[in-house]
Formats: sequence, structure tokens, C-alpha cells
Amino acid sequence: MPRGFGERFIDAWPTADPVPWGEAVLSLALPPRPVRLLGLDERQRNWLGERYRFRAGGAGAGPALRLWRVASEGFRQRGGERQEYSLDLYHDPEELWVAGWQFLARLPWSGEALAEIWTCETERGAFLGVVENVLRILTARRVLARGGVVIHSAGLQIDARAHLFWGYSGAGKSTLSRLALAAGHGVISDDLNVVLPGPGGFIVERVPFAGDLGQTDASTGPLPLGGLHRLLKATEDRREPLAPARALASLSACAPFVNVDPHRTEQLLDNLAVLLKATTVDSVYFSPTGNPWSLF
Amino acid sequence: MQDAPITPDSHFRRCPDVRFRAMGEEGMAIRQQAGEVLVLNDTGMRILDLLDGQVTVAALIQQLASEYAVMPETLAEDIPAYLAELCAAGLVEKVRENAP
Repeated sequence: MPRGFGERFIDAWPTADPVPWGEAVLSLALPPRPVRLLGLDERQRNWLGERYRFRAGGAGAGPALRLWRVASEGFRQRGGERQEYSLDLYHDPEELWVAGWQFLARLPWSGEALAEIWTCETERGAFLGVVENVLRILTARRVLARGGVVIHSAGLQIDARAHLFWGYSGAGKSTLSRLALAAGHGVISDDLNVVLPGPGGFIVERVPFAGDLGQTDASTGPLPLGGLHRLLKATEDRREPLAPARALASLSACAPFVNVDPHRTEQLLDNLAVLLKATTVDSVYFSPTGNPWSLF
Repeated sequence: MQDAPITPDSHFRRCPDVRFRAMGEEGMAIRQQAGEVLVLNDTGMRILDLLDGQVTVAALIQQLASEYAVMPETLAEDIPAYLAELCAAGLVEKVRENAP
């Protein structure tokens, strides 16, 4: 472990003598395969069941994420208001270590190997935050291993196809998603969307990780990918061609978690290159007062 | 400290954290440590590809002249400045000078 990793959050390495919180198990339907959460107590299972209500089930099958209870003394105490913060990450060729407030996690590269969270968090919101932080990263890594990618994007359903509008924070993903809802289009997510190779081409799968818009109707199943669109705000709506290298550069910057892992860069670029060859790619400029749907 | 001048015997190599990929008529390079992504034209990609730490600036110029139908004299004027730009962008680094 490199010097300094997790120092913001951890006083003493908390992985010694952990105990399970309980014997409860919950399966979450996350692409590419369900994840089994092990070592929960009943209260935690209920919290997670409520949070991921459309996706939570019984014991199920699939790779496991085990939660361990550890003493709070090993963690530094967070001061002030709860707010967004950056996690500490350590990328090893075979596994990823993640440190944050009141938790440490280890995520093996192999999708079948056991992932683990050590935490002392007992408050509902903060506990759910710990688990979701890890689930987001876990999903991004497992999707990458399956030839897909998680894209920081607004995923919209237009004519039975999923169109992903990617962009940095402030590009207008949530604004466009609100416009889509108002126009009667489905919103898959305004934050993270999963693209996976399917038998007939790439598909978009919904994940329960929403942005400013919050969770929308969860009934959407996998949809064929209709296009990838770099999103930019403008005074009038238009679509413009986007050169493949620029699309690759921009998309790789919007592939969270795996794009900062030096051991995964080649695979990320491989997956994106295949994806870009298989679908329509362009830039979409939209006006918050316009009608971008007329472009499709 | 002032950087040593770029001479025909200078050697450059891609920085270890740089990954790059050609796509169409351009390419992109990622600086992993800085989290930066840059788009390069075809020539820039070819230069990045050739800079393995073994090739000298003189050899680089000869190679590019043979591939791009550009006079070596022209490249000799342009390449040092371009290499300096790539260095400033964190994509390549100077490795050593040939012993006299």
C-alpha cells in the first residue's frame, strides 16, 4: 500500500479482527450480474431493500460483496457538514482499495472474487452512502471486464432506443433529462448508464445510480443503443459530426472510476473503440428553451 | 534550471504514464497521472509512436521525411519545437544525450 493512502480517513488499519454485522443476505440486480451483499444485519438489509427496492431480492446468485463491522476508533471522525467528497483510491493490478469516511473497501479485479467493505457506519444515510460508493465502482469495473463501459451521461429513451448524452458536470445532463420527461421520453438515468455488448449489438442497462434528477421509473429494461452524443449547451439546437479520436478522448474522460485506473486504461480504450465503431456518434448542442427532440 | 537544448542526438521517449490510441485521422493520448486527455493529429500520433527512447531526433526526422514526403530540412526546423510542446504537455520526456 503506498504511503499516505487513506490517511485522510483512517487512523489505524481496520481490517484486523472484523466480524460480520449479521447473517442477512441481499441480492441486488446490477449489471452485468447480480451482486450478493453478505454479512448484513436485518436493519441494514431493510435499508438497502428500501433504497434499491426495484432491484433487491433474496439470497440469489452472483459475485459477493461482504460487509465487515470494525471498531470506529480506527477511522478519523468527519468534521462539519456532510457533503460530497473525493475518495482515496489505490490501484493494484489485481485489486482496488478504496478509503472514505468510516469505511475501507477492497475490490478484486476478477468479477467472481469476493469484494469487501470494512465499516463502522451505523447511521442510515451514511451507511447507504458507503455501500453506494462501493457499488458504483464495483459496477464500473465489472462492466468493463465484460466489454462494456459505464458512461457519465443522461440516458434517454427515444423511439424504443437508448441514446446516451455524455458530458462533464454542468454540460446539461439533468436539464436535458427534465426536458425529456416533459416531452414524454423515458429517462434511464441522468448520471450513470451502463453500455454492454449484446448478441445483436450494444445495449443500455439501467442502474439505480441517479444524479440531480433522482430515481425515475424503474420499469425500463435493457434497450438497444441508439446513439452516443456529446452534450453541449448552446443557444439553438443542432447536431454536428464528432471525429472518432475526439469522441474517444471525451468518452474516456466520462468513464468514471476505471479511467483513473492505470491498469485498466488499455481495456477501457479497447472497449470504447469497439463501441464507437458500432454506433452513431456525434455532438448535440441543445438549448434549454429549444426542442432537441426534433433532431432525432 | 534551464533545459538542455534539443540536438539531433537528443533522445526522447513517451512518459511512462502515457497511453495513446489512433482513431481515424487523429488520435488521443491519456496522461494517467494527471488525468488529462489530449487529441493529436496523425503526425503527432506517429511521433508519439516512434519515441521509444532509442530513436534520436535525427533518426526521427529521417523517418518522418520518408513517410510524409516532407523535406528533412523543413522537419529539422519544426520538430524540435514540436518536441518541446510535447514535453510541456507531459507526453514525452528527454532521456539522454549521446556520449561524444
